[in-house]
Amino acid sequence: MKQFHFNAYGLHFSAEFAVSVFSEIEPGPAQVVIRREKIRRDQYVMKKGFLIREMTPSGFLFCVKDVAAFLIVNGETILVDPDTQEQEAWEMLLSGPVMAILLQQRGFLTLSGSAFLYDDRAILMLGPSGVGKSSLAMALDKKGCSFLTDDICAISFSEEGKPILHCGSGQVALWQDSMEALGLPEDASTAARQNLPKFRVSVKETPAEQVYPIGHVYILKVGPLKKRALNIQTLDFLGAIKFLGLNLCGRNSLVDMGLENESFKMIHKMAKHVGCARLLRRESNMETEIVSTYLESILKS
Amino acid sequence: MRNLIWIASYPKSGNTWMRILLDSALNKNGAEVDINEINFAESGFLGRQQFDEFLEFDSSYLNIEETRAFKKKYFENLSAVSDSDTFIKTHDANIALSDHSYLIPENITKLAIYVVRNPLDIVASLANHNGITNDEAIAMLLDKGRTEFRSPKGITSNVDQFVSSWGCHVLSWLDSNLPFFSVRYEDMLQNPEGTLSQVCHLLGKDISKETIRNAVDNNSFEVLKEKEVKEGFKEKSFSSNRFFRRGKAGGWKNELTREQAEVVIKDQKSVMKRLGYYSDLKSEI
Repeated sequence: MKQFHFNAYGLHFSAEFAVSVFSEIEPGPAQVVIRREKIRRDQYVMKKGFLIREMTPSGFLFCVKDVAAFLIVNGETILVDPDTQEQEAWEMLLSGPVMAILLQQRGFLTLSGSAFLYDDRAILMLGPSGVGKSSLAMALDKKGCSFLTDDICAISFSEEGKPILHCGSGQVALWQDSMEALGLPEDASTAARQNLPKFRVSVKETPAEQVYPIGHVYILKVGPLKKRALNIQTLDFLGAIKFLGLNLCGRNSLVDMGLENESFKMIHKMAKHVGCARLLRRESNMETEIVSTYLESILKS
Repeated sequence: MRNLIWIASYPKSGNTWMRILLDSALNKNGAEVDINEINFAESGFLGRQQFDEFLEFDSSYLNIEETRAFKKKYFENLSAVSDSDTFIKTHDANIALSDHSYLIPENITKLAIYVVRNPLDIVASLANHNGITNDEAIAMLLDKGRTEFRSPKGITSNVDQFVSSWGCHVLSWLDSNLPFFSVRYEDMLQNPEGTLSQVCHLLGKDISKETIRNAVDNNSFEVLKEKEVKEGFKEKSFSSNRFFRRGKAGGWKNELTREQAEVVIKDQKSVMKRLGYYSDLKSEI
């Protein structure tokens, strides 16, 4: 059976199927293997009417009803048992919460966000979906601040305790209105999902082994602003811990795996070494250019 | 367990005022309510972050049908995690889902309090709120496919709210199998104490006449307007100057042209008749 190989987060993956979120690379020794396998799940309780999230003797089980079940084992194996023919639907889970669980098992701190490069340091933009992290990262890429990663910021720590970003795939997911605002042609992208105006754009071939020290973290939020497009509020140490914690990927999974304390310690270390600020912006994709210009000027000052 | 109580309405129909009055009567002994701290009813404006935390995956990859189905699960979860009555404000129409159930879960609904307002008066209010013309507001009011917080090319920081047209919205609640009580905004204006008292009684709450009277006096529309001028109001939209605008019934006669009124009436006549809004018109048009 043909194996597909790709890089992400400094890891070499091999899979039984192509994963559209990741670009194929030359075969090599894999650190993580992804394969299809039937996963028994009927003995586990479904939470909230659609979700199974459970530490089992075989690995961590993550299942969304009618989409797919995943078993993530020791940070080395991901088993996939799809419940739908629509691969894009379960790929969304694979590259999102399932990938976060794998990275957590491997000891990474995982935060929801995008990142770009400024002055040889990774600048992180965290926040919920729809707040503009990806479009801002792309807008800054166009200004020469190279795009680094989207969706998950996977972080490890140097011996001195300083946080280091490991990049995911060189792809960014953008909505159609963002692509139009950024002047990106639709034919240079692939649809993230059928009938959804969201597209994947390959920005660059980011070497998986490339890592970046983290320079600053911005936590994005949409809110009402009358006069300016952007408002920045520097966070103190405790504020940074709070807001970094709020942007952890898969908090519940961390608790189930008994890794919550480890993540908290990593957040603590990160808040010690990296400046954090809240960035309030208006709800408007038309203002991405204004916000990115403002952000760039703040970085330069 | 039936523990969800909906405060539902088409937008700009008096939902906020109803919640303020209920907050005052049920929770504050009739005292003035801080309009920027209305601690009454879970917001039906489901923030995307809140929704993603509930789902434990990125909701932006869901299509419209899936979003609605998971939104229903969100409501079901609100019921499941609470052992007491949970009030929810919503502007959602009670639409049918792809599995033939309805967005508003019937088996866990204790009561749906539906606030309805003459659509002719809603027009100018919608126009003000959205910073658009009356004609544009009429188009919005009559749009059966109207969904708030979703654009055809992107997403927003709130989860989709399917509103539909005024008439479809009203019927989706009126003709549902939900335990239902409708309140006309015009009756709230004319007899606020009587209306509030009736709603409290339906909720099984024994609230004194004095508390009801105080709730109404301390939170009258005029009082709310003044408060907004002094303190601002966080639910005011960016496009409008004020949220609490006129608070009157029949203002449409001065705000709409005859032609504009006729467009609304022609399209929404059957529902207006059913709610008693059409019989008032014959002498006006």
